Amino acid sequence: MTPRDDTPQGRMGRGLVYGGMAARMGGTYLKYAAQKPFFSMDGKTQAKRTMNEKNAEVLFGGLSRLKGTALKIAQLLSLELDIFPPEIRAQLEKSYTDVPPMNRAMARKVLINAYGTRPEKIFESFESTAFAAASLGQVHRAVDFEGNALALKIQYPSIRQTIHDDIRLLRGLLRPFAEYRTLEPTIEEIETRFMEETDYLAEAANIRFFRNNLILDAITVPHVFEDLCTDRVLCMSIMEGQTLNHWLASNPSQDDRDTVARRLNRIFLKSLYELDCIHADPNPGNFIIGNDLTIGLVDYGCIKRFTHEFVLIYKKLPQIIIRGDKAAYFDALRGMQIVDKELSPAVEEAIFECAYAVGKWLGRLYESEFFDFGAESGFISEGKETMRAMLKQRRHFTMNPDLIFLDRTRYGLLRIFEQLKCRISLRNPYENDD
Amino acid sequence: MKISAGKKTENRRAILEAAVDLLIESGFKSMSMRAVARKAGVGDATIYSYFPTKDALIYGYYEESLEGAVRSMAEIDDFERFDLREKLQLLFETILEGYLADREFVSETFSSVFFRPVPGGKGVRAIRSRFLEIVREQFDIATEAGELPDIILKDLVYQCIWDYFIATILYWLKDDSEQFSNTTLFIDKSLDLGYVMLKSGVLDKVTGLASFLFKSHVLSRIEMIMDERDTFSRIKEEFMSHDAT
Repeated sequence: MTPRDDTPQGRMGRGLVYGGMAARMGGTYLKYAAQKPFFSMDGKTQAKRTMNEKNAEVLFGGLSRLKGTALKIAQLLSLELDIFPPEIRAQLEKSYTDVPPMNRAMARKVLINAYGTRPEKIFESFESTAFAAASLGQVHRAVDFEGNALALKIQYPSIRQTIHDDIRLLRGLLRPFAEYRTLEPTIEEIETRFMEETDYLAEAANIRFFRNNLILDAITVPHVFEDLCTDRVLCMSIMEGQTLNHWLASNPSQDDRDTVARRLNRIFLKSLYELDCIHADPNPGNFIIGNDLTIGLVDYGCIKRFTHEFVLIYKKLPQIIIRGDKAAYFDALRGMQIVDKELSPAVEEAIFECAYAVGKWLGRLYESEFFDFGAESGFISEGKETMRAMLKQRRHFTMNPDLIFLDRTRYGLLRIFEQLKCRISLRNPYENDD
Repeated sequence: MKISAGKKTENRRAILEAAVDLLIESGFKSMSMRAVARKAGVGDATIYSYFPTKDALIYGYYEESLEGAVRSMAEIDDFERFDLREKLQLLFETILEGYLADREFVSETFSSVFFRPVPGGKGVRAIRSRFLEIVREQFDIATEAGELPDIILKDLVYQCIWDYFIATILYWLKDDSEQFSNTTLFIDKSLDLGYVMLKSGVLDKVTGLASFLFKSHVLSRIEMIMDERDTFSRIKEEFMSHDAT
């Protein structure tokens, strides 16, 4: 069993942790501010970096003591392109480790509360040890009396209240920081997502949607057992196979990796351009690779729906940038409600320059028929530099949460391709006119 | 007439069920042994061979629920894989599951059974010793498996768990959260703490102090419900005195 630790409980306890965190971070900033005038340029950069690293540690230390929500926030924020400096992100990315699971007695209790009777009466067998950690819950194996192998996703009893408290405290913690204004819409979006993610009936509806609509060769979506679902228990068919990261650790061949990458890419393209709705959690743990390289797509807690208009404009973006058509580009941004005010020609020029750089970088993916992530291992880190330049302009943008989730998913997919070291053709009939 | 052990168990349960129903309907005072016997479908005299007094009925209920919990836990497929902490949590939750259907009965009788002016009456002693036996058995398994360090003054620890158990039931009786989820969290969180203490061997290092603190911690919780305890004791005494006439 996972050892228990001293996760602070209750609003007060959590408040204390966040409070302490803010105070310590504030302290580090003060120290930096006090020393600032005495540093040379180089020294200043160095000092700033040390400060960020220290803050990252403090922030991460605080967040990870809170588990659950905070960890999930950390995960989301760590995927936000460059909202945090690289030092902070590096710390946050560590937070991918699983949330400690509920113990076996607690897992049974959750089921008893949901079904009003003991699991033995509902299932032929039920494993009280979880086989996977979901972000805000955990997954257990069970077999029903008809012999169907099931995955039961269950959540800790008070998780919704905990999330609510955590988000409120997180706001308090971030408010003193310069980034707060930019982050606020994201935090709001995150809270909404959390509430959706903990409503398992909503997730069941998402799964049904994808099962009925995402019909692709070698891609499977679980079957939901409606009668056994409640807002806290989600009952579905189990996806047999290994999670992408485990599968990758078994050293699959280049051909197999290419096949898997191609299938992942098809899932994304079809969802976005035909369904206007994507599975927005590109965590390698959410792709289950079967022996025949079939991909089981799991965890529909975080899906994102777009308006058809948004998707139509977004689709044209790569071509517009590559053509260098500035007027069309800003029309598109306005159309997607990313820019909603008049910008001076100088600002427009600066933004477009950045966009062009990003576009050029992304364009490399399409330059030739196949892109080899194995040979071009530095592709993503190169892109980060261009992205950072773009983000300097962000005060001119309205942070459109749709776009944040879309970018996050796309970026996550590229990261997976890089891990797969795959050779893949990314040209597609949706984004490439020819 | 000789009857089988199975029939005996069945009768015993039927009598207890009838007692629970009648006590909820009409209260302890108005409940008569004869009414219980009739409702349970046993002879007016037969009932006394199972339970000699009305008090014994109440104690019998609590003993029976312990046995029920033990039986129910044994039916769990992978029970042996549970660690001690999980087993204790399961024990508490299972006992509470049993109480749930009879919550009114438990609420009516619990304090008067477990908080007697003179503690340690024969009826409570039997329940307590069975409870401690169940706990001891699981501790022995855990110690043997190397999950726990061998603790000195084990009996003191068991006694703490007994106190803690009573506190938990009282907490549950006062819990008005949906599906008593506060009790579930209370058990989960407090066992976390207790188990960490046990595992780290802190009880051995500072046995006296630690168990004293742990115990007084639990007791201070009970303190909050003291008023109610007094009320219950008083009512119970009234019941008793009326019963005698």
